[in-house]
Amino acid sequence: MSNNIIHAESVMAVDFGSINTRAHLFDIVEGSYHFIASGTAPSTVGAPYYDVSESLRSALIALQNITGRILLDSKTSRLCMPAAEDGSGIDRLVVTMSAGRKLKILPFGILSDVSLKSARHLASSTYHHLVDIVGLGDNRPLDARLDDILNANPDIIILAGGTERGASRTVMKNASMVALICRLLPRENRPYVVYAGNRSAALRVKELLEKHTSVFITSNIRPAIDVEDLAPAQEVLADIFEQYHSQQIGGLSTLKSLCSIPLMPTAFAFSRMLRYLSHVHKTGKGVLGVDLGAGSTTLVKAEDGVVHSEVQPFGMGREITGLLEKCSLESISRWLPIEMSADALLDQIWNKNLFPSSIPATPEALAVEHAVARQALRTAVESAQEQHPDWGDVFEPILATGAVLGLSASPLQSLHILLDGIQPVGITTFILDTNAVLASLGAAAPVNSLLPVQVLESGAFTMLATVVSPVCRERFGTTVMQARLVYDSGDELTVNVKQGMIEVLPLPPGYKATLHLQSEKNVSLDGCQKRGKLSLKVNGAACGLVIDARGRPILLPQDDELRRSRLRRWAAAMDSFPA
Amino acid sequence: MLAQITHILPSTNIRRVRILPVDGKLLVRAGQQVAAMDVLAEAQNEAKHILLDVRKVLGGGSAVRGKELVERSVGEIVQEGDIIASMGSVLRKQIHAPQAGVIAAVENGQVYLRVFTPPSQLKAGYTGIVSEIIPERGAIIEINGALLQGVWGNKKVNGGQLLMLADAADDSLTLQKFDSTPEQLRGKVLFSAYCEEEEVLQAVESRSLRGLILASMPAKLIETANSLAVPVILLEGFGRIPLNKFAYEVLSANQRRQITLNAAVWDDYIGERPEITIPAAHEGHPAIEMEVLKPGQHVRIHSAPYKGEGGVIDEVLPGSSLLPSGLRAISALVKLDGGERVLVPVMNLDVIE
Repeated sequence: MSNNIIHAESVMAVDFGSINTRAHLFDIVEGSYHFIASGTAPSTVGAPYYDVSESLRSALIALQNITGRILLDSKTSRLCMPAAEDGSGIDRLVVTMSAGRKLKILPFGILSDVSLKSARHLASSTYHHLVDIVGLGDNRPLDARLDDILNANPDIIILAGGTERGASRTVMKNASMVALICRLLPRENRPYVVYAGNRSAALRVKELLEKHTSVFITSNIRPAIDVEDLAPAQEVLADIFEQYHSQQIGGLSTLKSLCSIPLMPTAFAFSRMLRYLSHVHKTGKGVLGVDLGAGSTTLVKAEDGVVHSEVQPFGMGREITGLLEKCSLESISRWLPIEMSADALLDQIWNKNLFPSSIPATPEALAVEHAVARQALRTAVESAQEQHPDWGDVFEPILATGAVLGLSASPLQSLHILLDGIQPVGITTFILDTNAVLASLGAAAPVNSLLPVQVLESGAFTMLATVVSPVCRERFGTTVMQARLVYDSGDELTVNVKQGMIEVLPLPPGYKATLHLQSEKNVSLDGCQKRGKLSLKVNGAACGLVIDARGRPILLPQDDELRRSRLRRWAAAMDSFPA
Repeated sequence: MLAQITHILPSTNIRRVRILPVDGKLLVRAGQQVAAMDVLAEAQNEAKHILLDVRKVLGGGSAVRGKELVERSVGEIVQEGDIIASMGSVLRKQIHAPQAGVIAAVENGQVYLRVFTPPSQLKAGYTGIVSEIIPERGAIIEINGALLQGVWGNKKVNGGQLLMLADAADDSLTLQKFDSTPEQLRGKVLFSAYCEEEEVLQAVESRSLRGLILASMPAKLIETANSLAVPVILLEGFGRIPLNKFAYEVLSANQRRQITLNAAVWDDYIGERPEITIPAAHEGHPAIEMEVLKPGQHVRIHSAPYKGEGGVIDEVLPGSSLLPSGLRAISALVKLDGGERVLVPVMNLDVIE
């Protein structure tokens, strides 16, 4: 790490996404770091450019135009570094990336609910395709197993197994199979091997494998039966991601020489920030981060520094059809407030696959995009809950990013999508990363630890709402509680909250109030059954204060017209229906 | 702003890289004329091994003993029936190769025999000249003629004489049309605007057609299209979308000419798209691959509410414009072919070039 940290001022954070390249500028304003502006340009990772430089140049030109600050040398078109006396240029550059091919990963472990499970969790924390899974319970004949692995041609094998006082013979047997796999593949097709098992076998594994392929030794991801430690192995995966893509994608190697630290996968940088926030927000609930991207959907839950990351291989761009492999078309169509045949919906989804950067220009197209967004989040949440039994549905706060959310027509639309997709319980603050800087802050943290802290405080994010989500088993339409909002000005607003309804209470940014909840019914808030009174202080936000009494999980009527009518009623309450 | 380009060109010169996923054997040379179905190269791509457990069968469970009994070495080619391992002198016990193959590995007293599988073949995909050889991997083919880039393909390759079964840009292909055409269908590549019947797709194979070009079809037919052995290329997308006039003109002008279909999957990372080429003798101008969006460009709109319409860019508007959906986006004013001037997000446009 540079000794010049204290003197470094401006930081440029570039994110190469599958649809767009974004360049974010951070600098000192009135003594503390602020997010200044972003420049965006279409990605040039693929044809016909095959080089990130062109999109970076376009994004920097856009940023120059917005800020009036010279960032590119007029003669060479190169990034001006370091910053000059006249304010041109920047001091530090960090890069994150989610574009490019997903890594084909093969977890190779022992017990399915111990090492193999952790190896899968590790794979799921980055942009990946799981090509196969090999463990002790594998019934395939040895030759068939070998052929399946060879034909899958993984980019990375995660070799795990053996707690710290556990198996090493089986680990070595597995390592021998991996060595055989490597020997049978042409050298240029051999996978990286990440050894994340019993440390006592590490040296032998390295000696066995390093003559055949690149081997990375990291801490045991399952040091004890009931302990999972993925963080060191995630750093290794991030390194491999950087190495792999630097070889595949033009312009990255050149850019590396300008960067203060190695390029990071966006999801990795995102989870870094969530880890930090989990230390800041010690509510006992855990912080949830949501990135609804074009190529992937990322969920990160962090509590007291312990992070669970799930990167799903479906998104809102070309990978939109990946969602159809994880859920039914019907589960998407149930979120549509308009009538549309299954065929027409399928056509629209597939057309989005063909034209991933297209923008919904009509209310109907937007309704489809939002239905997909809801179900993508829902599918991701359900998968995370299945993989991590302690994931739960209680979070504080929830931070969300992604173009569908950040560039929506109104904050209420974004909030409505998040509520329908995540369905949290209890009292939750929703924060929108409109500028998609959260991952960039995670990437910048190692070179400037003050920057993320100060930018978080600086208003770069939109406080969407405080949402109260009571869970109650009363009949639809029954009054389950009374909500009385007492503003600091002395004004009051009282609503009777009915089961199945959403109430939006106005509380603009800058205002404060106290919310008094009174219920005669058994209402669950934050996992506790409460009857009687509860009071809490709330701050104003873009959407005000929202009470979501639709129940958990949200049950939608089977009857199509009744369901659409209910969705429209909720959208009307949230003022979130497409224009 | 960089433009998204779709090539619909009556005459051009293009070069296409065709490579194997692994090292293999080249079957062509530089300067050679190739047709779409010619094999450029082939490789043993699919791994298939048979485990011969010498340790267990002959070695009494001992890996060391098992290894001692193996009579072949790694890399050795064996034929079906060849002895792989044996023990004993009077009452000899032997393990024979069940199939021909190569000794891939001897591990822990076990022999892995890699059996010969049919090589995977790299077809040319285009009719043209091999302009450059990529050693052990493939070749670059240079093509002169018409080029039409599609949006979806079923990963097959073939070619034949073009037959248009569409009187208008939104005509539907039906079994009745198939049966009522006086033309001999065998060996032809059929063009029609739209197809929504699964039976029609299936009939493409049963009537020995060599390929199908459509403007659009319902996405529910993807699985059926993928199952066909002949290429299917969509030029517009999914749903019912009329063919753009440029493509219609190029195809109409080349009725009954030999055309080739490379129905690749659209993959931006490797720059592959489904493509139709119609070879010509004369050399065309290289296609423009990079362009900035600007007034005067011919465009196709690929999203609602003007999906399938063509026009000309009148003006690229500064800043973001408000759309009927409530979203804001960088947009252009496009004069449609019918004369109407409409606001379209630039991301919903393809420049036809």
